[in-house]
Amino acid sequence: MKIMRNYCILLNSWERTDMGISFNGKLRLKKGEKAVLLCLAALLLAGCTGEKQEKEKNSIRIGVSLYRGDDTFINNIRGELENCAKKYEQEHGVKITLDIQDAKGSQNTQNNQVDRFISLGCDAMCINLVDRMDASFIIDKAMAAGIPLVFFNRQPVEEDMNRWDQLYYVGAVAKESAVLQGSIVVDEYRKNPRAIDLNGDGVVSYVLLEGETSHQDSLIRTEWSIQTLKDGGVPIEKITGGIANWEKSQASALMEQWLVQYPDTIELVICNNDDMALGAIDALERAQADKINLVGIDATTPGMEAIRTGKLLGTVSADKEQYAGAIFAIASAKALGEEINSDIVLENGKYYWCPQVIVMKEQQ
Amino acid sequence: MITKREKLLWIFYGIALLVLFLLSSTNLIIKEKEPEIYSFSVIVEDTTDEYYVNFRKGVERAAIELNADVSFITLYEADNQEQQTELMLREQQDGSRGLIVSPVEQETVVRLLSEKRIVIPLVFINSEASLVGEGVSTRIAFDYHTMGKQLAEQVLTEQGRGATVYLLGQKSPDMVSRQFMDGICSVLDTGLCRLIACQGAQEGEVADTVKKLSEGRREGVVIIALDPGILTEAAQFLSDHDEDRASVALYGRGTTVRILNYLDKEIIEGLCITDDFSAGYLSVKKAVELSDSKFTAQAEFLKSDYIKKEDLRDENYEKLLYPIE
Repeated sequence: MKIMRNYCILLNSWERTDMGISFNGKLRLKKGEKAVLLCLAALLLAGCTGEKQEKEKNSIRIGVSLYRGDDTFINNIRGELENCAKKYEQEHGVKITLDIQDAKGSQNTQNNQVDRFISLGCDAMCINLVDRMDASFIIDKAMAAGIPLVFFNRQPVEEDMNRWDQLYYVGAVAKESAVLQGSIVVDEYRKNPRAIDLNGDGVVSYVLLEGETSHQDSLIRTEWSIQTLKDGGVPIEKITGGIANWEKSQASALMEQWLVQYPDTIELVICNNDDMALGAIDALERAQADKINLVGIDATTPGMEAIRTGKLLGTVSADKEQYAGAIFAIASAKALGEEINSDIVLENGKYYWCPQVIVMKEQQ
Repeated sequence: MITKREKLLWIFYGIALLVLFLLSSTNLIIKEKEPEIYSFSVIVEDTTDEYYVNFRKGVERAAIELNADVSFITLYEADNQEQQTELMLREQQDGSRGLIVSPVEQETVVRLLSEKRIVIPLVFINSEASLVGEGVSTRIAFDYHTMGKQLAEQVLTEQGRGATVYLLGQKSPDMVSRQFMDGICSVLDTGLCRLIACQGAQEGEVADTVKKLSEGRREGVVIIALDPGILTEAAQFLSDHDEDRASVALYGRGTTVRILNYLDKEIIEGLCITDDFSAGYLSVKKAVELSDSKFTAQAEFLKSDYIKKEDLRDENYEKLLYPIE
């Protein structure tokens, strides 16, 4: 209204003269010029008064990019996200379109996917970064388009997270996962040392299967798992270790090699995730060395199956329903322009940490 | 001092430059044609896309190549036609230019078209339904009857005449499983084998059925699973029970990674596979054609094959079973 009033004042200040129109006696314009000016003014007026009426949204579109669709844990999260979307649709009558894309381990592909999400008019994006050190491109794009971003599982560096107040991260505390994993072995050792120290020489000889070096969780999981074993009084000795990049096939190959190199020596296999533990199990089955204990993290569906059949001693579960629920709750709230549900407690207004529990055969 | 002629020349140059700028860098004179984005929705009969992984890859490939925006929608509850109808109507209302549907009850979906409640083009998958009106609908199909016959002939060759063959299926099988079973029966139910239908297995009961069939048997048991879900459950059971595994020859159809892994481990003896990637790609292509009112065939049939473990390493089957997006 204020703008309209200014236009009226402006238009009233025109004066008619013999030569045409003068503005406060200084600016002289002809009839044609006046018409053009009036049109411009009318256009401006229309532009200003035609403010978009904020409509309540009845459909939202969320773009989801996964670092690798064949990662079992990520695939579980994807399934849960789809369930969350369906549930929300049913409960709230808001249509949710989830665009889920697999970046196949390529940051370039993921960047292109983000471009496509933006051009398709996504209201929020959930990104499982390929390269956690290289989030700037995606953040720049999201900021320019004004689309809130929820990162999950692969945490961007703090400097990137601090660049915008519409950036969120959902994950599990790596140290907690590791301590819980270590305590699986500690508890078993305390109950029956010979169940872990298979040859009874007073030392538990172990091998380590680690995730990607660039992933924030790999180092922390390794460090704190071992530390927990030491703190728990388990006498341990590392035989060897290797990086299997979270992958079952790579873990299987490494384990096969170690079984040849260190026959009848390995008593425990500590794995940074369940997929690698399953790869090691495959190698152990091929070598018919089924007494060796293995521990994993993630509680993926095949991992839980391995626990049920006694092939895996234990794993650590971040409640996937809650994990995906938090990602979805943040993304949908931001997409709808609403406040995030108060059940989702954010650390520093940005980070959501999913609680974790130990899973063993007796608990299933 | 510049002459009047030179002045005019400069003005002309200026105008020429301006026109060139407007021509090359703006939309003012030559309007750039905005690429048309086709928005389609794929609505399947299941609650997950577990059995549509390769199909979805084909859909996504076609979406990129044909400039389409495709939403893949699963039901809240499996095989619920009411929900599927609601979702079809919703997608139409939301501006979808075509639907690709694996119908729960094809008669209901056909009725939606004939009653003109659905007025946008429709591509049927996993269905016998095709034409409701020319240029309105089409279908992408596999000949499951022939597939069943092909599998039965292979079983006959591998297991010999007179074998007892158990058909393991659900209580109320879908149209695809029925066609597949008819194909099997047309070969085996002619006195060549003893055919016993074990239908009625619910989720989680398949393992018990397989156990009962294999328990205490000295001679081999031949089981044909009629759908991929049943095949997966049966294979999972045999994978966990080596003692039963030796006496069971398991056959079926499907292309999921789990099923292919079981074939690779020889838990599944032989498998009928379909080119789902091509089906996905073609369904989007057909939807685009229908949407542009171009002529399209009423039905497109795709081939299926029978494979064994050794075929998994065959280059052609590798491309078909593990398509690169």
